[in-house]
Amino acid sequence: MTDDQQLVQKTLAGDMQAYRWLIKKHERLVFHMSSRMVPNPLEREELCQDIFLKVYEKLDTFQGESKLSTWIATIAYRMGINTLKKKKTELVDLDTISFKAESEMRSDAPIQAEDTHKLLARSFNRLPPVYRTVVTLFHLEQQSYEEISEITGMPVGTVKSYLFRARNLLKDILFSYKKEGAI
Amino acid sequence: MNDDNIHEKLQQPAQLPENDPEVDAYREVFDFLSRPEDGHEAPAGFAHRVTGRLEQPSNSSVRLWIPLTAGIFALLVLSLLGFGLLFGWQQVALINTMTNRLLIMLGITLFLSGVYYLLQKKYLRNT
Repeated sequence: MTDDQQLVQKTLAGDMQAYRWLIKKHERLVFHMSSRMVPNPLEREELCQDIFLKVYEKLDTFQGESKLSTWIATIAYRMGINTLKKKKTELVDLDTISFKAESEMRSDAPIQAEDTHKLLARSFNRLPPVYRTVVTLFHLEQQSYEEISEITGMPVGTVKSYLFRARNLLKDILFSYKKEGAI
Repeated sequence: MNDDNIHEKLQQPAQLPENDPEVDAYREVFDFLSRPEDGHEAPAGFAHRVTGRLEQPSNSSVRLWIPLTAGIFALLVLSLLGFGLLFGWQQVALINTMTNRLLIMLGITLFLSGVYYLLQKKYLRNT
């Protein structure tokens, strides 16, 4: 029996300390995902709390067919998307946003003084939330294509395409700035 | 450079051409993406706040009985008094048909249900 399964069983038996351990084990994943969707720290923490309340509420339905982290990430993704839909945020239109991001950045005078990290951070934060989440799950949380597909409900091909387009856009922006000698 | 296998290639730098600005740009993008941003970690005491919210409903529902019962009783008395003042006792005495009595009872019930719903929403929103 894995640690996760033990924590789930103890939590279901009413052990709140076990649930706190479970939260501590998976809070990094949930916070990283939520930070890609909700930039405001207060709103983000509220969303993360709601996610773990939902996890607790649904814990008895966890069958152990997938990893607990994948199951929690699925709940986090759905709740994050619902939050964005309520705010009428554009979720996946990369073309419009990337064009806007690049043109906006080019018009910003201080960009020349910024380093690579800041340029990438600004470009990344202007990607649509779904792209940011997919990239975060793959690179920061080391989730596989299949796991990301399970979490987001998107086909594996779409996940790969999102990763490719997001990375390619960031690479192009960085490459063009380097080429122009702006960095 | 094809992004599809760049991730694997970046793990084995010997396979990549040196001083290729596009490869360098890719490498920097991958480095950036694998590092967490500051301030995106869970704040201290987060787990306790979540379990605190989970334990809250049972406590609040116990605490809720006293103000709720007192409130309903007070509202019942006030609504009867208000009804009396509005229509006068004599008129109340004239309303003696069964239909009117039932309508009055229904009105009071709806009013009390509304008040109860608002109180419940305020005190038990985390259940």
